[in-house]
Amino acid sequence: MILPFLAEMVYRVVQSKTMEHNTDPGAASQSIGELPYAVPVQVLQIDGSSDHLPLLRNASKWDSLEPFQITRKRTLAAGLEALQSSLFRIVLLDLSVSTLPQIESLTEVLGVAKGLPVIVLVNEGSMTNGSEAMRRGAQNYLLRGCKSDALLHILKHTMERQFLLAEIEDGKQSIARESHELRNALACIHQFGNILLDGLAGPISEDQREYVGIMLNNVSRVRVIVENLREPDEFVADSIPSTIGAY
Amino acid sequence: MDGTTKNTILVVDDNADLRKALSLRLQANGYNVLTAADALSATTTIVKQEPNLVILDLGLPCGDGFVVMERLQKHDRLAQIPVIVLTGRGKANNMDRALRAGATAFFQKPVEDGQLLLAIWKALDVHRVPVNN
Repeated sequence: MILPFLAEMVYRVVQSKTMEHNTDPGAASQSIGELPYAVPVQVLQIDGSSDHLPLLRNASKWDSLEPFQITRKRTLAAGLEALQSSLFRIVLLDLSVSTLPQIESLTEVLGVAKGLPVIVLVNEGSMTNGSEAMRRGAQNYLLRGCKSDALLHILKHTMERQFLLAEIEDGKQSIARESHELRNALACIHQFGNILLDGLAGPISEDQREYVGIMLNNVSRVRVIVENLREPDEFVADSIPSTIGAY
Repeated sequence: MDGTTKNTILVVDDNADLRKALSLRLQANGYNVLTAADALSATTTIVKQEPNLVILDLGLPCGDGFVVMERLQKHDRLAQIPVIVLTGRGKANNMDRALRAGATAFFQKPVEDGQLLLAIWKALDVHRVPVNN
C-alpha cells in the first residue's frame, strides 16, 4: 500500500504545476517564481548540427532565455567531458551529434549525466526519434527551429519537475527516518508488554493482563500503519508527469 | 544446550530499552546475554567473547550493522557465528543485502517473540556452534 495522504498531496502539487503549463502556453514568459533555483541555471547543449539548422527560429532571442544560460558543445566527446563538472542542470542533446546510432548517443549521455534531465533535439518529421528517446530515459524532446518561448517553457518545466522530485526525495527520507523511529518505539512497547504478560517481571492480576492486552492490540494497529509507510517508492515514479508534450 | 551450559547471545542495538527487553526475554529462555550499543563495541565484543549468536540492529553509531557483518566475514571462525538482523529499517532496501552479507535471518521491528526465538533455535541448531561456557 502507499501512503495515501502524501500521495494525494504530491498529486495535487503536480497537478497544479502541470495545469499551470498546459492551460497557458504563453506562460513561458512568466517569472520562474519562488522556486529556489541558483541562477543562472546552466544548460549544456550538445549539438553538432550546422548553423543552417538553428535550435531557435529567431537567433536574436537567445538573450531572452534568462535565467537559463546555454553552453554549446559541438561534439559528443566535448559534451561528455563538460558533463563531468557539476555545473550543468539540464542537457539539450542533438541525437545526431556523433557517428553513433542516435539512441546510443543518448545512452552515453544518460550514463554520464547521473540523473540530470536530458531533452533531445529532433528535426521536424523525425518526432518518432523523440518518442523513442523518451522511452529510453530522455525527459522530453524539442523540435529544432522552435520559438524561444517554447524552449524557455520546456526548460522551466524541467526545473520545476526536478525541484518536485527533490522535494519528494526529501519526503521519502523523512518517512524512512520516522518509520525507523516508530518501529523502535513500538518494539519496546511490544517487548515489555509481552514481558509483563508472560510474568517475567512478576505476577500480574487479571485486570492488569487485560489492560496490557489492550495496549498490545493497539501496538499491532500502529504497526500496520507503519507497515504502510515503509515503501514510499511505490507512488513516486508515477506521480510526476515526465513530459508536457513536444514543443 | 544440555541444561548445564548456556548459549551466549550478543544483542546489538543502540536503543537501551530494547536491549533490556531483549535481554530479559532471552535470559528467561535460558540464554546468556551480552549487549553492545554500537558497531565498534559489537565487533570488539564478538572478537573477545565469541558469542554463539548475534542479534544485530542495522542502524548503529560508529558504523552500521553491515559494517559489523563485513568484519565478521573476514575471519573464518567469526564468520561462522550466526547473525540475526533485527532492524527498524525497511525490508526493500535491506533484507537481501543483509542476507547476502551473511545474516541468517532478517526481522523488522517489532518482532513476535516466538518468531525470534524460533529463528535463534534454528540458527544455533543448524550452525552447531560449540558452547563456550
